[in-house]
Amino acid sequence: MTQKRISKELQECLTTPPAGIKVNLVDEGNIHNWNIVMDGPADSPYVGGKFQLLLVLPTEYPFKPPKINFKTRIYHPNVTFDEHGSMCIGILKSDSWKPSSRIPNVLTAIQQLLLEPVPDDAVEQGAAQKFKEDRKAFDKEARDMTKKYAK
Amino acid sequence: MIQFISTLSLVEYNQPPPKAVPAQPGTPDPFREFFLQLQAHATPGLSSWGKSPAKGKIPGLRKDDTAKKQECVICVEEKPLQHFPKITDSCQHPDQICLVCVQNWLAREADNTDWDKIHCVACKEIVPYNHMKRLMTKAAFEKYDQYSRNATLSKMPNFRWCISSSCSSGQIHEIDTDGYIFYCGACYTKTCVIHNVPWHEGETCTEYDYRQDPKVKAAEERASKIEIKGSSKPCPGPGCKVNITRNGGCEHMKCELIFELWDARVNENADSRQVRDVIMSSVGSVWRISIRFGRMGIRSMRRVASCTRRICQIISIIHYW
Ligand SMILES: [Zn+2]
Ligand SMILES: [Zn+2]
Ligand SMILES: [Zn+2]
Ligand SMILES: [Zn+2]
Ligand SMILES: [Zn+2]
Repeated sequence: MTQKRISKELQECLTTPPAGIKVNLVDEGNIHNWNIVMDGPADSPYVGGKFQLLLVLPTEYPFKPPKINFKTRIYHPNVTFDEHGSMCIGILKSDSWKPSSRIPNVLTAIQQLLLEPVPDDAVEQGAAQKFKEDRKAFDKEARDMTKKYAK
Repeated sequence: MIQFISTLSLVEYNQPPPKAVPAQPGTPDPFREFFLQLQAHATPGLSSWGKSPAKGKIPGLRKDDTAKKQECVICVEEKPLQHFPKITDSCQHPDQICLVCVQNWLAREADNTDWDKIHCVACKEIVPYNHMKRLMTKAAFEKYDQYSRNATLSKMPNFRWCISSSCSSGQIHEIDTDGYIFYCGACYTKTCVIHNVPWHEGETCTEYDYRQDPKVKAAEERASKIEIKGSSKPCPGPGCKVNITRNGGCEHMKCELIFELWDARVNENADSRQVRDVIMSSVGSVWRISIRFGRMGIRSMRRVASCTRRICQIISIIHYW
């Protein structure tokens, strides 16, 4: 059951991915690990950047949510600024995840997060504080880091 | 006819038969009643589609137009509409998840969540017992039913599980009436309810304590010395010939065959030791009540809420008739 659902979602994401997103498998033989390339959205300090993410579908998918990490460093209140690039967003938390949610929903939620960080639910406190107190400085830092890491 | 016994003595005595589950027919069974109550509680609100399906129908499924099909939002299989059950009475969403997926979800949740907190796969509505029964596979429901029963029993006061690892039985055990030995009605294992270990055969709980920790003995010997200084008086209860020995404290003491102990704390002068157990035992026609001091505090005894005075140090009572 999981296989059929994943294949179908993969097929959809390969043929008609959400705008600004490209999807391919990390390894052709394993449909559980997806490689995502997300363009930094226009109107965000991430514009011009290409961000790589790794999406892992657990064997209990869709009863359990997928795991997503930024492989490319990103300066953002809701993503850890380290080699893990972990994030914690509502749709992926296991108590709010709905088995009927689809991967495109997840990916667009992440794009939305790049446009509108949620500093009150931050994992990167420094970035969150800067975002709240000095938006200009935050944007500059985010742009600089995008240039540095996401080219 | 007064006789002192050691403060700390505990004799094994004729123990009433254990209240095993299930009870013999005809006798009131608190488990069953509790459980029936629980089930009765779950029944209202059951709508017609929730009732037991007629023979030959797939349980949990709707009787809609069988020709129409839709895709399950979880497994993406195309299935006839009748394979998409309504999950709870209060679900506000369309029925887009097939029975197989609902069953997978419920079975998973039953293994991971408290039986009464399992929610719908598509929303946060809790799925009540009767709907779990309607939706789950037979095998999964049996497991869930067992979980729910165990959880319900565990919440009952004085309920204990048998400690034997190979036994899954349990029963109500009240120390006041059933004593210190828990006889499992299913596997006949004997457990000491004070120490929660297999019954220490040939050894009283006190002796067991001594063997485990010599310091207990010293503390209790000090308690015995207090006893010897005490005086004994007949019970003030009307018609009662029992002698009560105590040393100080309030007069608020009487004996009944069901022993009542008011807020059972030793007065502060006595090292603030706490009364540990009140032991009522009968050997032949002799009732023996002894109180033990110890570190573990008060266990299962009757208290009368009306008196807030700290009790006198009752030491021991022997009742002849
Ligand atoms: Zn629902
Ligand atoms: Zn399905
Ligand atoms: Zn047993
Ligand atoms: Zn014991
Ligand atoms: Zn009396």
